[in-house]
Amino acid sequence: MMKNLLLILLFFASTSVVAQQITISGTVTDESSGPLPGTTVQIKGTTQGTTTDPAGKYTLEAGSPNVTLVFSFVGYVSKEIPVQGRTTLNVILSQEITGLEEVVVTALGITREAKALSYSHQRVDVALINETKSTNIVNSLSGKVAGVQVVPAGYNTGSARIVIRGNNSLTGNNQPLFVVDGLPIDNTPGDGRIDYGNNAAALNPEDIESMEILKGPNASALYGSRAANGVILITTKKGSSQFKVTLNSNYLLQTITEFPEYQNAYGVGTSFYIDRTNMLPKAVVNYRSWGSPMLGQPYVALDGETKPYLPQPDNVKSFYQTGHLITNSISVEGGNKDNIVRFSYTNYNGSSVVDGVNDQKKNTLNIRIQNNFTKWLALDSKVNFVRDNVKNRQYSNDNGRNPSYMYVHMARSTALNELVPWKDEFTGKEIGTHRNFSNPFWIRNENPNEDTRDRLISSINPEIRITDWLKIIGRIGADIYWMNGYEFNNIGSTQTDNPSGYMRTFNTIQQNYNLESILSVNKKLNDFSLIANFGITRFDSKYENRGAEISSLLQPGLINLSNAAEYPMVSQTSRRKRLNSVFGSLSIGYSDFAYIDITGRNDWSSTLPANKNSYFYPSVGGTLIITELLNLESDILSFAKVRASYAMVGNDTDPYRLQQTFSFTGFFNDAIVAAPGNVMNNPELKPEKTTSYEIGTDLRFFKNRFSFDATYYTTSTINQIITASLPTSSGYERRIYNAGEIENWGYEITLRGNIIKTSNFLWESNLNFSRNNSLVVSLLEDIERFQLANRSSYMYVFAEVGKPYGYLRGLGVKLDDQGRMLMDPGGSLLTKDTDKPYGTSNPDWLAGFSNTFSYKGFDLYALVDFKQGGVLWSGSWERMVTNGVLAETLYGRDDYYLRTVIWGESGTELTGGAQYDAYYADGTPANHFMSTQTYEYCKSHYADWLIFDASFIKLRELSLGYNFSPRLLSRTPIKSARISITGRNLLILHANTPVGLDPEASFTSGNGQGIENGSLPPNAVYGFNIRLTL
Amino acid sequence: MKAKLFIILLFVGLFSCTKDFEEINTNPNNPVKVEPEYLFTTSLRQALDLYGGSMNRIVFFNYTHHFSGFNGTFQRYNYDLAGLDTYWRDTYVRCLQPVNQIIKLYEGNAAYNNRVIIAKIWMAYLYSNAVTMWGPIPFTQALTGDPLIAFDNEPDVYYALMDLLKELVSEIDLTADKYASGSDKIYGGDLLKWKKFANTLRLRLAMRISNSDATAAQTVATEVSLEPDGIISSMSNTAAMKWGITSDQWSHLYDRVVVNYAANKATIPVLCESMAYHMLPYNDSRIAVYAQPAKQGPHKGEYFGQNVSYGGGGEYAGGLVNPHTGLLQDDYSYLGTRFLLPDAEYIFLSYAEACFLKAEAALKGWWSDSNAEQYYYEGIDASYNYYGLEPSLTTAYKNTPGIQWGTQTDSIGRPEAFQDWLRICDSYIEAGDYFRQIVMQHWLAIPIQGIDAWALIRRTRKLEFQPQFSTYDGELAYIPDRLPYPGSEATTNPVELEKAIGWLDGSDGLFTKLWFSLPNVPNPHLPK
Repeated sequence: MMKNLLLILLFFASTSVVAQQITISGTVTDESSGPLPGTTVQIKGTTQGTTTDPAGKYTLEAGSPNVTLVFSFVGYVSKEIPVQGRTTLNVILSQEITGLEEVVVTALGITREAKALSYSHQRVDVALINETKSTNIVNSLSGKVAGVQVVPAGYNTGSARIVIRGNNSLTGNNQPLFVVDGLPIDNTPGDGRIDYGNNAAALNPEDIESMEILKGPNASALYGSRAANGVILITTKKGSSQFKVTLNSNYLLQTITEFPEYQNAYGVGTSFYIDRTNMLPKAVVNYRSWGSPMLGQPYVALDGETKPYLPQPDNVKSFYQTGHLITNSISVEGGNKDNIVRFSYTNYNGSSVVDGVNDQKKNTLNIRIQNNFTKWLALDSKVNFVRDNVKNRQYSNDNGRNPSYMYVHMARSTALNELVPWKDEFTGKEIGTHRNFSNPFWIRNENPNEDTRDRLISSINPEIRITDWLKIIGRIGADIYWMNGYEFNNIGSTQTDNPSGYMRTFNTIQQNYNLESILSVNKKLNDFSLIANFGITRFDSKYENRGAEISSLLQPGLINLSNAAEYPMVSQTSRRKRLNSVFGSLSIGYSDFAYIDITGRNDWSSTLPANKNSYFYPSVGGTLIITELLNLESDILSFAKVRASYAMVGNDTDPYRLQQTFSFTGFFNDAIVAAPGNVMNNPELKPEKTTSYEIGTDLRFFKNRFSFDATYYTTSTINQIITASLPTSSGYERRIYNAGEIENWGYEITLRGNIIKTSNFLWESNLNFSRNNSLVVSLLEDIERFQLANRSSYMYVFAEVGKPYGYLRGLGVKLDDQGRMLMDPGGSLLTKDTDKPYGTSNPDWLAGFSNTFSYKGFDLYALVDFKQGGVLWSGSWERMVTNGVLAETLYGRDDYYLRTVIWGESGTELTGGAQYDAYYADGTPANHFMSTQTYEYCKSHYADWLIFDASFIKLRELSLGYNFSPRLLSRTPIKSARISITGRNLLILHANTPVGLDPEASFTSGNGQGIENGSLPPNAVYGFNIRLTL
Repeated sequence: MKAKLFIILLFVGLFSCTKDFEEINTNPNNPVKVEPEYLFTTSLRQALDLYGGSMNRIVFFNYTHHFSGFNGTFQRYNYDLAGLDTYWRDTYVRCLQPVNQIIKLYEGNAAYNNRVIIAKIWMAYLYSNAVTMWGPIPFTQALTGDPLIAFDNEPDVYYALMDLLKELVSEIDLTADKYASGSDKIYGGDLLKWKKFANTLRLRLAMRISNSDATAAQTVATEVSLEPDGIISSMSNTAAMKWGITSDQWSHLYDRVVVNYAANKATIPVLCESMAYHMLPYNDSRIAVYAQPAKQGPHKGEYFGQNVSYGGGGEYAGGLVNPHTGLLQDDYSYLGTRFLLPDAEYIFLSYAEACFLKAEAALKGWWSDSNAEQYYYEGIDASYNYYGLEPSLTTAYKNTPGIQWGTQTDSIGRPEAFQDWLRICDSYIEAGDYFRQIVMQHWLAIPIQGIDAWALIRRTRKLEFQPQFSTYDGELAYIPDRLPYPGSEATTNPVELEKAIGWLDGSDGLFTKLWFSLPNVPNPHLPK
C-alpha cells in the first residue's frame, strides 16, 4: 500500500503542465441575482487575479485552460471552479452561514478546509471590529468567541487581558500568542503605576483580513512553547491586482454612563461638625463627608472664600468630559497579475473622559507587496509601521495622582470651581486640597508624561514552488519597537512621594526576530489527501531598557533631566532569549470524510538549564464526517462531524532564572551598596507541560441554515514554573519552582443560524456559550496556596489547592455557628476573620448573543455579552464608604444626629443610630447603637460589604448600517458606500455591582483578577462610521 | 538548484543550535559575586531604616513612652497587618540576607576572616532585636530559601547568641583583614571596636534575660567583665550611624516631619507626657536636646508632652479636666532638631548604655567589681557628653535629689509635676532604690532607640507609664509585650509557625508576655 502510494506520488511529481493562454470572463452575483462588485477572482495556487466591477463582471487571463478559479467575497462562501476550457464562467455566491466550505487559516499559516479540522476554531468578523471600534483590539473580542474571556482595558490607552479556556499557568503568562501573517508578535502588557497598554493594541483592524482564534494546545501545538494558551491568528489584507481605494472614517464619542449614587445631605467634616477648632469652620481641616447637615450655614470653602455649606450633587460628574475618538484610514491597492501592492494609512486621534488625560495620536502605515517572479518563486513582503504617541497617561488605580481615584472621595460639599486655581501663585504649591486629597486639577496639570512608541513589524516571505504539490516557504520576520518617554511631577504637590518633584526618562528597545522555513507537501491522490509540513524556526528576542530619574527638582515646571537638585539615578536592563525549534505535521484525509492530523515539535530554549533545554511534544487528532461516511445527508441534517484530539505543549520561562545574582542599588553616603536578589532562582528548571484532550461535533441543519458546534475539553498543566511566595524568614520573598498542577475543563457551544431568510430580509443569529472550570490540583508539598495579587492586607487573590484558580480571601466578619456576624466583647469592633473565603473571580459561564437583521441595504447588529459568576472586591467602594460620600452611608445618620447632637443622649443611653446585626460569642445580640461614622469606618475594613457578584449582561455592540445600492452609485466613481452608527458598551442591562461600579473593572491585566481599585466608572463609546470604496 | 536552495534554508535555520545558549542566558544586568563591603553597607543601611524608620515612629515611639507617634493602628487599636509583614520581611530579607551572603561567599577564605566574623556579629545583633519583638523566631534554620522554615524557641536564641558572640570575639584577629573604612558606617573598619561591640551586646543580652535565667545571665556578665578588650568604654566606641542628605538617603523623620509636613501634620510625632514627667521636675537639661518648646497652643514656649492614650480619663483623674482635649500635634513639643535632620544619627549601642548595663551588673554583684555608683554616674556623664551639654549642667543634674545615687526625689510642694495628668503614674525615686535610678537613667539616655527602650521597659517593669491604648480597657491600658507574627508567615509557613505559637505563653497577640520580660505591673488605679 505504502509502496503504491509512493509510486503514485512520484508519478504526479513528474507530470508537467503545458502552457496555453486563455481569457475567461463572467459575472458574479448573489443568490438574489444582485451583482457582487469587488469579488476577488483568483487563479488557484497563484497570486494572479482580479476583482469584479460594479456590475459584478470580471475578465481574467489565465496561463492554462485547466486552471481553477477561486471566487471569494467577504461574508459569502468562496467557490472554486475548474475552468475546464470554458471562456465564460458566471458564478453565484451564497452567503456564508455555516462555514462548511470555509477555508481557514491554521497554525503556520496553512490554509485548510474547516471541515477537516480536528479541533475547534472560531473566526471573528473583522468588518464588525472596524465599525464598532474599540481603542484596543483585544477589547473587541469580548463576547464573540466561545471560551474567550476578555478583561477590557481600564483606560483607552491601557492594557486589556485575554484568556482562552481558563488559566493554565499558576504564576506565568496565561494570555494567548498573537501571530500576524505567520510572525509571532509581542503582546506584553504595560500595567503598573502608569498603564502603558498591551503591545497587541498596536494592531490596526483596518489592515486585518481575518482573525482566527485557535483555542488551546490542540490547535496551536505547532507554534510551540509560546502558544500553550492558544493563538490569535491574524491574517492581514493582501489586496488584489484591481486598482481600488478604500476610505473609512470613524468618529466616536466617549462618556461615562453611570456614576455612584452619592449622598447630598452631609458635607465635609467629622463627627457631625465641619471643624471644631475654628469659630468659622474651615473645609480644609477634614476631607471626609462626615460633617454637619448641609443647610447653607457659612463656612470657609477650599478656596478660602466664605460660602454657604451646601451640597454639590454634580461635583464628580462635572469633572468628566466627553471624549472624542477619531479614526481615518485610506487604503490603495492594485497591480498586475504578478505584482500586487497594497498600501494603507490610518490616523487615530483620541482623547478621554478626563480632559487632558490619555491623549493619543496613532499613525499606522502598512505596505504589502506580493511578487510572482517566476513560476516557481513568489515573494510576500510586508512593512507595518506604527507611531503611537500618548500624552498624560492616567495614573492607575489608587495612585494618589489618579484624578479618578481622587474623585472617589471628594467631599460632597466641595464645588468643582473651588479647586481652581490649583497652584499658589507665589509659592508654587498645590492648593485647593483637603488633607489626604490631592487637587485633581493639580494632578492633571502638574504631572505631565508623554511617550512615543514606534513599532515596526516587517516580514519577507519567499515561497519556492518545487512542484505543484511541494513548496518551501521561508519566513523572515522582525517585530521591533522603540519606546521613549518621560514622566514628570512638579514641585509643590501634597503627595508624600516626591514633594520636591520628580522626573524620569526611559528608552526601551525590544527586538524579536523569527526565522523559519517550512517544507510543505499538499497532494491529492484518488481518495487520499495529504498535507505534510516540516519546518525549522529560530526565535530571538532582545530587550533593553535604559532609564534615568531625578527625585528632586531645582526649578518648578522645567521638564528636563538637568533640572536636578541631586545626582540622577540611572538604570539599564537587558534581556536575551533564543528558542530553536524543529517541527513537523502530517494530515491525511480519506474520501473527504475522514481526516487524521499528527504534529510534533521539539524546542530548545536558552532559558532552561543546558542539560534540560530540549523538549518534545506531540499532538494527534482525528475527524469523521458522519454525513458523508454513512450517507446520512438529508433535508434536516445537512452535515455532521465528530472530532477528537490530544495535544501536549511544552513551555519554557523567562531568561536569567537559573542563577542567583546581586544588584547594585546605588550608593549610601559614598559607599557602594549591593543587594542579593529577593527571588530564589532555580538551576534545575524543567519545561512546563500542558496536556489537553478535546472532543467536539459540528452539525448543520436545514440545508446549512443552522449550525451547532460543541466542544468539550480538558487541559492539565504540570511541572509549572512558578514564582511562589516564600516565608520571608527564608531570606527570600519568592522562589521559582517546578511544581503544581492546574486542571481546566469545560465546554463551548456555538449556535448559528439564518432564522429568517427571504430575498429582502435576513435575520442571522449567533450564540456563543462557554463554561470553564478550573481546579488547582497541587502546588508544592505542604504548600496550600500562592498569592497572585493583593490589595494591602484586606484582600488577597490566591491559587489554592482544591479551589478554582484565582480564589479570593480577605478580612471579613467572623460568623457564629448560625451564620450570624460576631461582635467582639465591648461591642465596638466586629470579630475579624482575616482569612475569610469569598470564592473565585473566574466566571461560571460566559455567553455572547448577536443578531443581525438585514433589510435591503439596511442592517442592524447587536451583541449582548453575558458573564455569570465571579466576584469582585472594590477598593473604590472601600474609600467611598469610609469617606461617607455614598448614599448608603446615610443609614442611621439623621437618627444619630438627632439623638446625640440635638437631644444630647450620651453614648451609654443612646436609643438610635446605626446598628450591626451582630451577636456576641455567647449568643446575645450586640444591639447597641453607634454613630454611622463609626459603623461605616468599621464596615469598610470588612470585605463582606465590598465584595460583589461580578455577573453582568451588557449591550456590548450595536450598529445600524446602510449600504448604498450599486445602482445608485453606478454613475459616481464610488463603487461601494456604507454608513453606519455604532456604539460599544452602551448599556449595562444587568449587574449585581452597585450603580457606578463596572463589574468588569480590574486593577491589573495580570493573573490576580478580582480586585478593583480606583477604576473609571462605566463608560460607553458611540458614533458613526463611513466607508467608501473607489 | 531548488534542492540547493532548500538545503541552504534548512541550515540557516539550524545553525548554531544551542551552543551559545549559556552565554545568552547569562544575566548581563547583575553580578554573581560582589565584595563583602557592598553587602555589609547594605545591611547596615537597611537596619538603620528598619529600626530608625517608620517602625520606630509607628510602633516603638508609643511603646517606649519617649515620644508619641499618634499614627497607625499600632498606636490606636492594636496592630497593622501590612506593617507586621514589612518589619518581618525587612528583618530577614533586607537586613540579614545581605550579611548572610557575605558568609556564604567568603567563609573559609582566610583573606576575609575578620569580615566574615563581623558579618556574624552584626547578624547576632539583628537576631537579638528580632527575638525581643516576636519571641520565638527562625534562627538556626533561617535564610535557606526553603519553603519550610523552622523556628527556635526564645531562650534557645538568647543562649545561642551569647555563645556565638563569645566565640566570635575570640576569633577576631586584630592584625588581619577588615572592612574598608568607608563601607563600615559604624566603626570605619576598626576591629577592636567591633570586639567591644560584641562584648557589650553580649552583656546587653545577659542583662535582658537576668530575670528569666539569672544563673546564665550572671555567668555571661561575669565573663564579659573579664574580657581583655572589654566593652564599649568611650564615646568613640558608640555604635551609631547616620543617614544622608539626599532624598534617597535622608532620614525617615526628616522626610515625615520636615519635607512632608503638610501631608502629615495631623500625625507628627511629638514629646510624650511620660518623658516630660520623668525629666522636667528633675531639671534634666537633655529635654532641650530631646524636644523643642511648643510653638503654639496652651503651653506655647514650654516643653509639653502628649498623652499616649486616647480615651477616657476623667473618672480616674478625680474630676480633673483632660488638658489634652482638642489639641493638635502642633500644640505639643516637637522632637529635638537633631533627630529631625536629614542626616540624623541612629544609635545601635551606646557608651551610656554600656555604663548602665555595667552598673546594673555591678549592683547585682555580677561584675568584676561592685562600683555600681561609679558606673551610674559615668553613664549620666556619657549621655550628657554625647549631647554636648556643659559639665556644670551634668554636675547639677547628678546632685538633684532622686538622681543623686541612693537619694530620694524631692517633690515637696509640686508632687503633680512628677505625675501624669491623671495622677496615677509618677517618676518618684525612693531612697535606696538604686535599680530604679539605673533603669530610669538608662531609659532617659536612649531616646529614639525605640527597640532597645521597649526591651528595657519590659524586662525591668520599674518605671511607671501612663495608660497605653485606653485607660478603662484591661490589658489595653498597658504597654504591649510583643508584636504578633506577620500574616505572610501564616500563609507561607503555617506548620512551623503553629509550633512557634505553641511555645508562647499565650496567644499570638500583642499582650502575650515573652520569656525574657517581666509581667506588667498593674496600676492600682486602673480596672483589671
